[in-house]
Amino acid sequence: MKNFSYFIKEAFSSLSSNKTVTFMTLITIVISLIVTGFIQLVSVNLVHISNQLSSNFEFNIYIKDSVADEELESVRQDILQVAMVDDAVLMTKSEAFQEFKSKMSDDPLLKGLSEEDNPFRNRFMVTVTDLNQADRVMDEIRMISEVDAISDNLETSQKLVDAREKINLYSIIIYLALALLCLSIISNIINVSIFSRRKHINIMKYVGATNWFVKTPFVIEGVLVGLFGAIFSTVLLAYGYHLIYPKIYMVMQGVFLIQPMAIFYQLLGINTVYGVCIGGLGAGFAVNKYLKV
Amino acid sequence: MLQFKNVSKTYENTNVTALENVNLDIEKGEFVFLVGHSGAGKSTLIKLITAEEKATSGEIIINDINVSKLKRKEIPYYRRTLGMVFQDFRLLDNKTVLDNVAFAMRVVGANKRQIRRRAPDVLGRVGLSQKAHFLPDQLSGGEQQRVAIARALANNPNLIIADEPTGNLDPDTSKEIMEYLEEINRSGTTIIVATHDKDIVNRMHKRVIAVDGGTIVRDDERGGYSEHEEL
Ligand SMILES: Nc1ncnc2c1ncn2[C@@H]1O[C@H](COP(=O)(O)OP(=O)(O)OP(=O)(O)O)[C@@H](O)[C@H]1O
Ligand SMILES: [Mg+2]
Repeated sequence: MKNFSYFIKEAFSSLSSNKTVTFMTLITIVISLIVTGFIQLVSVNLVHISNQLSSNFEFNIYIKDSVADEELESVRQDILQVAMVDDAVLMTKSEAFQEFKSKMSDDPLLKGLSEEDNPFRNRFMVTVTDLNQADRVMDEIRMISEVDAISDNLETSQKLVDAREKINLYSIIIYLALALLCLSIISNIINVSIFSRRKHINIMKYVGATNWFVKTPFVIEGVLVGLFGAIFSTVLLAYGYHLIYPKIYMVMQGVFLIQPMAIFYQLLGINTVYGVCIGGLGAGFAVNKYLKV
Repeated sequence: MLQFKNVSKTYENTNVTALENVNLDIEKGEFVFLVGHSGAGKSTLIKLITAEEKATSGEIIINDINVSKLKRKEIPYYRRTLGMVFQDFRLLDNKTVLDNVAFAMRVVGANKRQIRRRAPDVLGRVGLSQKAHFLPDQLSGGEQQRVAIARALANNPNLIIADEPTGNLDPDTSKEIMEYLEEINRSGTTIIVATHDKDIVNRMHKRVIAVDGGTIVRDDERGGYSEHEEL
């Protein structure tokens, strides 16, 4: 590859001499990767959460905050009295909080969180002997005055799986639509920078440059911008995800999202492929117009 | 080395027939002037030679290559056998004189060593060795055109085609440019020059092909500019 250093040099010098174009291309890629990355995070987490829920106890019985700790055991007895209840395990709010804090121990955001900020409620994790009768059992448990709310993990889990299937279907459409939109925006933006170099391209063609030779520096330029865009958007997404990760746990009462680090490389990989393809193709399409001489 | 057989060219977009039934034979080592009114079809003829336009009908054979049948992919390789010079010089203004020549070589795959050897050499042939590191806008028009000629020579073509190379230059500079071309011709390179410049054509006594309304109306071995073709 005796031309390699020439191509790289051309690509970098044009990246820096067309700063506006480079910047606009970068922004376009970053925005679309944030959208697709977000969809990806949601989809992956739906699976993760529904797996967690279906392997958990089947029902969470939340107890009103007004109920004192000493009364909890009698509430438990009341629940066990209900026909077809198999077992009821207590998870106190402070246990839930401790578990949360231990799992999140490395999170600097939570260092300052004290027992007073505890967002959890006391709950019983209840299993039933006959799942077909579950609705009736829950109706009965709901009658117990200390009970605040019931969440049905299996049902939620099923809903999440359904939602995920829909998201996966739509996300393919959204990915493709975004890719096309992005491609056309980018090739138009790059067009601006190529327009100013059409004399350059013309001269190359007159002295006998192949289309491949003319195109390569532009494509490398597009690929580089795509790569920067992928890294930048992944870091932004990962940082945002890292911020909401503990909050989601609190809101969802004990359900975890996938750990930020566990998903980082997958996100980076997919974004890189996407960014590099869009950048390279966009540039390639843009130059094609000027190769007809 | 160059043959046109019943070549016609109609521009599709305007439906203008710029050339009609042109037959032409140019031998290796000739120096040929192409003259005619504005709009006569000189540039069209040149663009057919450089494969920038495709003939509507007929056959064009140059260096044993059937130019009218070239595939798009083959055109770059064909062009490397030609040198082109234009009225507006067409230099890269962010590159030095030497780099403009080197660029033409690099584009066709020459390596650094070949470039280092040949680029200064062709600059020498147009008398610009002293200004190798100047930028185009630090040169006079005539000097810029000499750089363009050096670039056309860079890949050692056996045919140089110039479309009004002196169109932007004063008479003295024009004369000088033609002397360089004549010198290059003397070493065996075939040269075709389209021009309006009556003085040059009359003085140089070369073969003159006159085009009018898309056909060749005159072909003189040692011609001049005829009175009828006054512009
Ligand atoms: N790209 C084009 N598309 C359509 N028509 C064209 C094109 N180029 C040239 N023509 C037409 O073809 C005819 C011949 O044009 P050409 O440029 O060959 O003339 P010329 O002899 O070079 O003229 P000049 O001396 O002014 O340069 C003209 O009528 C012109 O309008
Ligand atoms: Mg012309």
